[in-house]
Amino acid sequence: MAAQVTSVPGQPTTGARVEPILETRSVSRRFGGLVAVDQVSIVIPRGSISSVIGPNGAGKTTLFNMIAGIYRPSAGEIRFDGDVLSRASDMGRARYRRPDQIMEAGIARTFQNIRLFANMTALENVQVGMHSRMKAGAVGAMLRTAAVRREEADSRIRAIELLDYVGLGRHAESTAKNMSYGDQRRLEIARALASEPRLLLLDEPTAGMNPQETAGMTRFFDQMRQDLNLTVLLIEHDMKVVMGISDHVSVLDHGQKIAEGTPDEVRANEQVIEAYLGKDAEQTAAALASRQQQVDDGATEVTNS
Amino acid sequence: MDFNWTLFFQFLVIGLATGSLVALVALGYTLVYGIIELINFAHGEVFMMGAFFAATVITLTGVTGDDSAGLIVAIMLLALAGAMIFSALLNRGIDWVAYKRLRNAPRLAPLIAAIGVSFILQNLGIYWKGSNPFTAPSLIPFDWRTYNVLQEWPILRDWFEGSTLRITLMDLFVIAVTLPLLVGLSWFVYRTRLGTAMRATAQDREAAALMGIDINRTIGIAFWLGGSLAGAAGLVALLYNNSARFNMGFQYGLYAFTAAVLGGIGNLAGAVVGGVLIGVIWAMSDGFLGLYIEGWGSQWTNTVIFSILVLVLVFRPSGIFGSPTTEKV
Amino acid sequence: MAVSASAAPSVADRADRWFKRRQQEDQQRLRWVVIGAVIVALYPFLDSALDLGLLGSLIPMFVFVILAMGLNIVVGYAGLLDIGYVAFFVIGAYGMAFLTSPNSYFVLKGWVPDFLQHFWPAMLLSWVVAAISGVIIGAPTLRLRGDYLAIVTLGFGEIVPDFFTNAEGLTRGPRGIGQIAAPATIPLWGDNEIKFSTQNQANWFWLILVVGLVSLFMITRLYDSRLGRAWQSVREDEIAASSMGVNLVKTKLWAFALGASFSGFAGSIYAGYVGVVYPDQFQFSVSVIILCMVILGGLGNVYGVIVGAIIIGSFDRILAEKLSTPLNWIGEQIGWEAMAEHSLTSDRFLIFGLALVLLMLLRPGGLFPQRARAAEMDPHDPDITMQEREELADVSGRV
Ligand SMILES: Nc1ncnc2c1ncn2[C@@H]1O[C@H](COP(=O)(O)OP(=O)(O)O)[C@@H](O)[C@H]1O
Ligand SMILES: [Mg+2]
Repeated sequence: MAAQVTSVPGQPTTGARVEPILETRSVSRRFGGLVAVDQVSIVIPRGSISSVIGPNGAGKTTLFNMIAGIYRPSAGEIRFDGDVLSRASDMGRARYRRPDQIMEAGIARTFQNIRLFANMTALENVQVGMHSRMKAGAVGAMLRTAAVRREEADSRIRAIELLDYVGLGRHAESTAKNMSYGDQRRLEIARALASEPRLLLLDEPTAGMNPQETAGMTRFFDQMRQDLNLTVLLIEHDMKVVMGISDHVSVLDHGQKIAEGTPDEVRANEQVIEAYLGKDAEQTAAALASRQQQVDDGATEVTNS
Repeated sequence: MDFNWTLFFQFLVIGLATGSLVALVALGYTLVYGIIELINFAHGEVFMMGAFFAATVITLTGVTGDDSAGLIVAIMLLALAGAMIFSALLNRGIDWVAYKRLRNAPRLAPLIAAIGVSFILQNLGIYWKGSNPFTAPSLIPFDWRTYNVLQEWPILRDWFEGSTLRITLMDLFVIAVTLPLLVGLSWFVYRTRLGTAMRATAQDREAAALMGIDINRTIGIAFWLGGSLAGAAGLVALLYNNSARFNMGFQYGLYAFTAAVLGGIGNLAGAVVGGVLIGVIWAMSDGFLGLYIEGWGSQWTNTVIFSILVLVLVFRPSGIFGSPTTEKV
Repeated sequence: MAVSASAAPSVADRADRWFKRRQQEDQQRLRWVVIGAVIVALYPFLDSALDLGLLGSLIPMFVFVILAMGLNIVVGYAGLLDIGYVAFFVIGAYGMAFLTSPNSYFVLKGWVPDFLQHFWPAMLLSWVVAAISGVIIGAPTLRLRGDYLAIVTLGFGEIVPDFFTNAEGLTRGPRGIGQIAAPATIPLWGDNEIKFSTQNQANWFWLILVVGLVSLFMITRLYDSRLGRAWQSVREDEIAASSMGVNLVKTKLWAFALGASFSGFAGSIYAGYVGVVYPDQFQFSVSVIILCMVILGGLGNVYGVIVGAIIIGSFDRILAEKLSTPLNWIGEQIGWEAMAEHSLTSDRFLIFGLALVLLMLLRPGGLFPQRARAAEMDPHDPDITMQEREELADVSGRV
């Protein structure tokens, strides 16, 4: 592990009651006639890995976009660390923060369909992630003062550390669009981490990965949470991915929260099984269990190698 | 000072006539924008070329205002058809040469190409007719009727006492060309299969493609239609102003674009209403406001219209009618 | 996943090594710039030795090089299509005129303190005023979508010169304002001095060269900075940039203000050199010509833009005239009257228009593309998610 990363031991990993870092209070979002998110309230305990799962089109990404400030909620309120991030008029005086303000407050994110700065290098991508933690302005840039030079040098070092941390140290100078899909996903994470977030939102970070990669990735999230003193909120449509590492799972379907609890509770929930699998619930529940087994096996392989 | 209703009505009529002209051009912007979200910057020049072509046709036939009314009407119909076809071909050709390959490029690429085309056409206009304004034979006699305004209504009589409304033959001519075109266009867009395909494409290009609509053909039709309307407007402008110049498309084009934006770009009815509004504002600023505001004159018209353009885009980009989800066509 | 790097070079070393390589590239480029500048600086001697008399065309051309460098910040770096850039040129030029001409309304009213009625302080002030007008025009408009923004800038590009035409009391209208100050004479040793008058074309030439080099220096530094990265990120993906902590409006405003400020430079020097400003000098075609220079040279690549500006400027001001003579001669020889009488200066619009269309179709990155920018403009590049950019439209609409 990179030495500069501070390690915080002893974060509770099961659903212990901690003061929430993030809380949504019956947030909704409508697109024309479609209610993509319908009065969803979730509470994310500090230091946890929590997940939002649900079938495709359930409204997970929309929920994320509201947290990150990209969509304004049509109703409801989102609180981060005691502060109101966004509030629709039904909850009092409406207020909305811009995405960059939200990132500055300490929430960083990745995107479901990768949105790197395709023509910038990996290093530059990460440096953009540090934007809100840097100070240099236009005048400083033109005069290139000592402070600006130092800040730039520090940002390069820190970017390389982060790239090392996600395993892309050798690719610092590659152009983002030329990197492999898996590397691009890692780069997105490095870029998000660059802002020193307290809450990290990951939107289907393992989409398109095979079981081994997926298992490795989920382990990495856990590691990251411990190393960086993070809270992680994961989105997955694939239930099995999150079960092993989540402290807390919320399930969305058709925009509504239909269940929440520990992975085991959720797995056993009839509504959830139905939402995912329709009529053949039991049959596929079995299949799901066996796939879960495969994933666990895959994970073992990775750690052994 | 008493409000001069007679002059007001006179400029109102001028404004309505100019406005329907602007509306014809504005429709071309809106049709194309509705479908491929391109501000066809060269559209004003297509209109200018239509006027030039009409002028050439009229000159070639050698007709003058002294000929019989029947002949004049026939020649005007011929020039109208010619200008419409010419401008439609031109517009479609421009799309084919300059925009088609940029459909997937960032939005700004076709816009830059369109600015380029606009410059090319202006230069071609100079080659064609020189860089000075030229006049067309005046085919429509300067003839008018005046009407007393609303003398029968007792309450209004006091206001309009002695006010008259003057309508020239030229105004009637503008309406006679514009109205059938507008009716024909809305019939096409709302009543035919192709028109329906266009509306569908405007609303959601991908979904329309999935439903089996030939997107390229639909785009082509938007350019055909927009071009032919611009050609018609070219003829009308030529006869109405009795002159034309290579750079006339810039002003008319931007005024028409303002009209399209005012009505909500992509919205056909909006373009017409916007066009008429702009026409009226134009006429009033040119001739009427100067009566009441010291130092006001046509030199401020540009500033007024461009200010409207900027203000609408900044504060109400969806136009005066409003909702951001106006039906696009 | 874990990185164990005991034998490998330290992180700081690797960051350094990478940086050194870039520095070396920069230095190499700097060497070329210096060599080029020295050669250009020697030109006036050649001009007077061979009696070419081109300085009078080259000086305004260099003004346009500075304008193109400024517009490149807006269009090339920040990706904002400004087709009314002439507005800032007007403001820079009239700023100089208002401050230093004895005919100016403000001077006549006694509102301009004496120390400001000189070229250098006036240039500085015009620079600031142009930058501020960039903010004033940009602040309400920068949240608009790209093509709407373009049209709004065009609107301002028309309104501003119109205002200067029509506000006769203030600006003397179409007659313009004359007797604009030139830089004060700079005394050197003995009897030597640097004078700026119509007889001292070479001094003007060197002045504009120095201003151009200073601009170039500042602009390259800007691009290679936190702000420069923010510009590129906004250009590539506004949503992602915003989510990574980049304040979209602020970043774009900086581009607008800085872009405008360089045209304040250019405008005030131009006014000082020509000695008179009138509104007809600032038409829409000027904006398009500058845009043409930026696109031809290569969006985002300052050096390319300089070359583009020189190519277009030299055609516009020198070649079109000079090349007409051989063309007419050929026309006479082959007995084609149209060709014998044709003047290439009447083809300017055609050629600029063709340049824009052909560049967009064949080489959207320009002659000397900046790698990233070329890829972004390429219609065949699948990476750019324009469609997605649209769909999350909420975000850009906020300050
Ligand atoms: N910008 C948008 N405009 C209109 N509808 C949208 C938009 N974004 C999402 N939706 C709709 O909202 C619903 C939820 O989408 P999303 O949040 O992406 O689901 P998930 O991430 O759970 O797969 C879908 O029906 C989707 O089509
Ligand atoms: Mg999703």
